[in-house]
Amino acid sequence: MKHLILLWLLLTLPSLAAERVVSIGGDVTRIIYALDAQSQLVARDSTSLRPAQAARLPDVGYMRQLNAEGILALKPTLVLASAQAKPSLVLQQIARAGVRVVTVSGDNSLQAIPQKIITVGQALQRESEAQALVQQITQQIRQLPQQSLPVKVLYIMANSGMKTMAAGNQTAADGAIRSAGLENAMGSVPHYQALSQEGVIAAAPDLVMIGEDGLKTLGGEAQLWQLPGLALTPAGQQHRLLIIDTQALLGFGLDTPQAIMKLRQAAESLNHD
Amino acid sequence: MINGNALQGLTLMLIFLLVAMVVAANLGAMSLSVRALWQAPLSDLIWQIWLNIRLPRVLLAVAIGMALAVSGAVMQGVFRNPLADPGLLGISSGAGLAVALAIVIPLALPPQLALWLPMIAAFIGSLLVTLLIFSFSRLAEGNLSRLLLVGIAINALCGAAVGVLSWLSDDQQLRQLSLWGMGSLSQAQWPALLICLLLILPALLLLQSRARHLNLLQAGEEDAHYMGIDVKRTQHQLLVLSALLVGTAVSVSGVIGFVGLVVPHVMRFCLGSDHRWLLPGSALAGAILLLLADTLARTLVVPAEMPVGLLTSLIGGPWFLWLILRQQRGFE
Repeated sequence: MKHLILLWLLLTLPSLAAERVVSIGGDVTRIIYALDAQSQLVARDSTSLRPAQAARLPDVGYMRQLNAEGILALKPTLVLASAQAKPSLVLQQIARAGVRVVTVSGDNSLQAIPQKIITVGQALQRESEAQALVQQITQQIRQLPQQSLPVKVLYIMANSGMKTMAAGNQTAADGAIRSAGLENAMGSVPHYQALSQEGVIAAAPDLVMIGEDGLKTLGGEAQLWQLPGLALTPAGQQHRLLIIDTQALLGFGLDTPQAIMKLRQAAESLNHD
Repeated sequence: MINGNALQGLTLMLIFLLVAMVVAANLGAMSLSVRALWQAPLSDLIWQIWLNIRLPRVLLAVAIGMALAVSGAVMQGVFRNPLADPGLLGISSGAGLAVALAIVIPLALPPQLALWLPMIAAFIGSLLVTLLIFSFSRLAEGNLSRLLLVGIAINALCGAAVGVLSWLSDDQQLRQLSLWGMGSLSQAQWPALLICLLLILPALLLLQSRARHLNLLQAGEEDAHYMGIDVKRTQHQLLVLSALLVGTAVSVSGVIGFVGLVVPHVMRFCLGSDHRWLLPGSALAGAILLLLADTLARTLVVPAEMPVGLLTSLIGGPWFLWLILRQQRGFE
């Protein structure tokens, strides 16, 4: 009998230790998969589209429009939420129902990436895997060229139903451009700003950067160069365009160092022209 | 004089509302039936969820639905204008401006308070606009068309100020702002609900007690005066009470359209235009509509949820059109 109980304990312990995790934030989900902890994942938010398997998990909705009961119905033991989802009464309700809620940094900086990995690793008790991943990422970050390059980059955001905007300072795009050692052409104004003809000409970008979806919204590259003022800029005259993976470059997650490297290389190849 | 048909209609709606409340309290992402609740001990997680998440939400939907529909009915009555709605006097936009200020200009607040900040701000905003309207209506000596213009000016001003703030705001603040504007009942928690009920219920009762005066006002201000009402005072009281209703609703749930404008019209079709029946009818119908919409909003796309304002329009819109068409045919 004693043996049976021991056997039962041995068999059930691992399943007792396993968490049921709800991940909120695309960068957080990506890290959970990288730490090979996806077996504990029961749901994700609508921004978590990577890796592709994640999209098959139940979607709890947009991170700022969560539904407390919907999440609790999945019987989670741990909610890993990006700080970008806060402040949130829903997350507070979930915490009050006895579920552990861990906040992961939401900063738009390269330094935030190792922090995010460590937070997720600790919460999931995968410290050693997290350490290895942090080393790998810091390595990638260290390999990024430090010296600045006088290339002005303009990031254009085009969401359907909204005005076409350019990224000023204090945006994720600004963080990415500066991390690549480049200049943000619109760096003198804060936040996202509507594209103005004269503003764009005065900013004189050497390179225009846009997401795949944004380009689709505009109706293709030919349409992009028709945007007010763009044709009169160095980038517009030579049609220098970089189509980026917005989630990778602007998410400040695992794919960001490589995406920044690509941006840097694109800028360097311009200088050789 | 007791209107038998209207009484019957009200009773039916009341029964329907009560049934809908029971059903709504049983529906949700977590499947928990009344029987399961009965058997589970009070400390259980399902009681937690039922008591602290689902019940306040159902009650809040009922209270907000009542508040919006009744304030709409009163505004339409006072202004004798079928297009009047709770947003008309600029109360929602005043609340919206206060929320925008609270989101964009960060204050160093303890985190516990920061969560409630939008709600508190919205309440203060709507209260300020109500006071402004109150003092203006005194200055204008109850001149309603001037009051309407004041409302339009407040709306325009607040809209522009929100525009400036959203232009100044960063990415995350902008998203927070636009989501607030969509309206949602997911903020339902006991403290907010209790404060809401404390304000909404007395206001509803007071308005009901003024229903006869509201009827007399329909005959025109002069006639009402000869029938022995203090017209300006009555208009004054009615407006402030309905402003209080809108302000409370907006601060908890954001802007939920359609209920305040359309429910009173539907009730006028069904119950006639006697405010003694129209006000309770609007309260019940508003509660039913918002409860249905919110229940769908939180169950259709489980585990996520939809903006409730979309559903009130989607459910109410076709019904309203059908009523208008039927009415049209009746006249021919």
